[in-house]
Amino acid sequence: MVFSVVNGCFSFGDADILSNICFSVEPGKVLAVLGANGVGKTTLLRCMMGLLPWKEGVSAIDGVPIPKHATCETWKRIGYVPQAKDSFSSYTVKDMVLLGRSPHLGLFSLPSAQDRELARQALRMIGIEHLADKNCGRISGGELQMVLLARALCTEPEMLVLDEPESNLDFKNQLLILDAIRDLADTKGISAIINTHYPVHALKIADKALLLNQDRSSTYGPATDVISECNMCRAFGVKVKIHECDCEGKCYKSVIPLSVVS
Amino acid sequence: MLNRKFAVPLLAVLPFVVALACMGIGRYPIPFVTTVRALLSPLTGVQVAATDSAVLFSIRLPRLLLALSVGMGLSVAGAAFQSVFSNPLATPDTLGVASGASFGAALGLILKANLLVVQGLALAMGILALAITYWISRKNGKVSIIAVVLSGMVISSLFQALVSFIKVIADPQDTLPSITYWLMGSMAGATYPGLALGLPFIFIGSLMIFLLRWRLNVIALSEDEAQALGSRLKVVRILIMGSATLVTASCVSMCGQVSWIGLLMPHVARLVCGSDNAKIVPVSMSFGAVFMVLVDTIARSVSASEIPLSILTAIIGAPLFVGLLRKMGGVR
Repeated sequence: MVFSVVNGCFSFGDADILSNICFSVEPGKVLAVLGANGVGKTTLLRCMMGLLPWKEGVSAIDGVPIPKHATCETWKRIGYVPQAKDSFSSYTVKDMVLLGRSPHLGLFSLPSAQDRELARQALRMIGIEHLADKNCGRISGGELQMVLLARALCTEPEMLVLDEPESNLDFKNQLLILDAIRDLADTKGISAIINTHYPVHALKIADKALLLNQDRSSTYGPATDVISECNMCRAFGVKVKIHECDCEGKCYKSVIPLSVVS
Repeated sequence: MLNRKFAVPLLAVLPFVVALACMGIGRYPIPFVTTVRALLSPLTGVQVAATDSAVLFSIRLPRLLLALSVGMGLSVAGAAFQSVFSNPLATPDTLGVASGASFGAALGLILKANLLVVQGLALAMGILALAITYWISRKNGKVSIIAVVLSGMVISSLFQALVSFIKVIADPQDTLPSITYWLMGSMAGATYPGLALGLPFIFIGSLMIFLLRWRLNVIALSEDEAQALGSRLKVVRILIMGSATLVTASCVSMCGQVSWIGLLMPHVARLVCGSDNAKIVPVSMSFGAVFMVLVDTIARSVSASEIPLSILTAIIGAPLFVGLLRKMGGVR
């Protein structure tokens, strides 16, 4: 599916948060959303999925606008992975992932054996089968983030929306989750929109990037073009140096913050 | 956990077995064999003593049926509220629903209205109390545990004050004693016509929650997550809260305010079968019915005069509530 936002605007009362947001995500592509704290990254995700109503503009799937309050049909196609810090439930991992089947089930129905099998497959896909019987309240933040990703995959979506999925994770887990997102896009054609604080991560996995500036404007384009020294300075007020290095025959980019621009 | 194949029939049969065992107990004890023979007499045609038959059929049977239904209803309502508010301390009592329903029922009693009107008033006031609690505790689409507990307390005491006011203006000869006694919770007033009016509401509400039991897992998540899992949040919330309030109001209007059971039973169920509401709901229903039958049997048989139910449930419930609060490490 092609997910697009045209002229998205949002404000809390008089304060404009987002204005004139435009982008589209094709199957198998990854879009990274970058911006300073409080600039409206999470608000953007909520608006585009219909959890908050756009003040102006629309989100559309394959050109068909998503209704004001998104319905089950929408949620069968979009899997949302919230930040792991907000969850403190005590379901077992197995039960938590099974909840991903919810959009496919009728109001009064219980998950079937087939649904349970899909939940098992989702756990396997993310490589966390060993957690299946653990309590969600007693696993680490990184593990919980993986569980939430598995839950979204259990829905069998065509697109994932992830809110800072790697923020609470250690070095290795960050790499695991980023690789998982890229891999899902390449092998299954599941596109992804990901909020991130790390320009390097955007450069690593994203095809396109949307940079939210503090003056409410935004920059959108191929990730390597958008994440430039000049644009980073404008969005974050930080002077950076983008450095390339060749390792094991591949070119890696790193973004080195130099100083705060006053 | 027991094997699923055994667990389901066991849970279904357990309350009735306990009720049967408790039927012979009381100030007028009847041996178990005689009880069974008397109960089956309409089918088998066996002759039984007239006193036995009268005690069993016109006093204890309706009373046990009421205890079974109220125990089941209040427990399932408690499980539902805990899930809708994602809050282990949300129950018909703590949310003010029970107090609201009490006020409605007391209002009906003082007006000497018929049972259907008493039920209707209890239901309306229960819904009103819930709506106010919900409205106070909700801010920017978020409902915090502390806000729910506090606003529930406020609404609860408001409606209790209104009940007290009704007691002040009630006729001390006639309506006051009945209101006072009924408020502390008693199954003694159970009659077949009363049951016929009240039980269907308890069953409809409980059945609704039972059918939605897996959905309870989804709506217990944060608002965005629940919505993103396509759960038609508003519809499910209204269905569940409406059903739970219906059940609570019917229970209150039939036997007064039996406190604590709605908090206690879902937590006992959680200890037995984990956090999956698809299991918690049936287990609480069964345990609640058993617990209520046992408590009522104690209430009517240990002393010559009846002990109000709420006294017994509070003695068991209050320490447990404190324990839960401490275990949670303070309120979030």
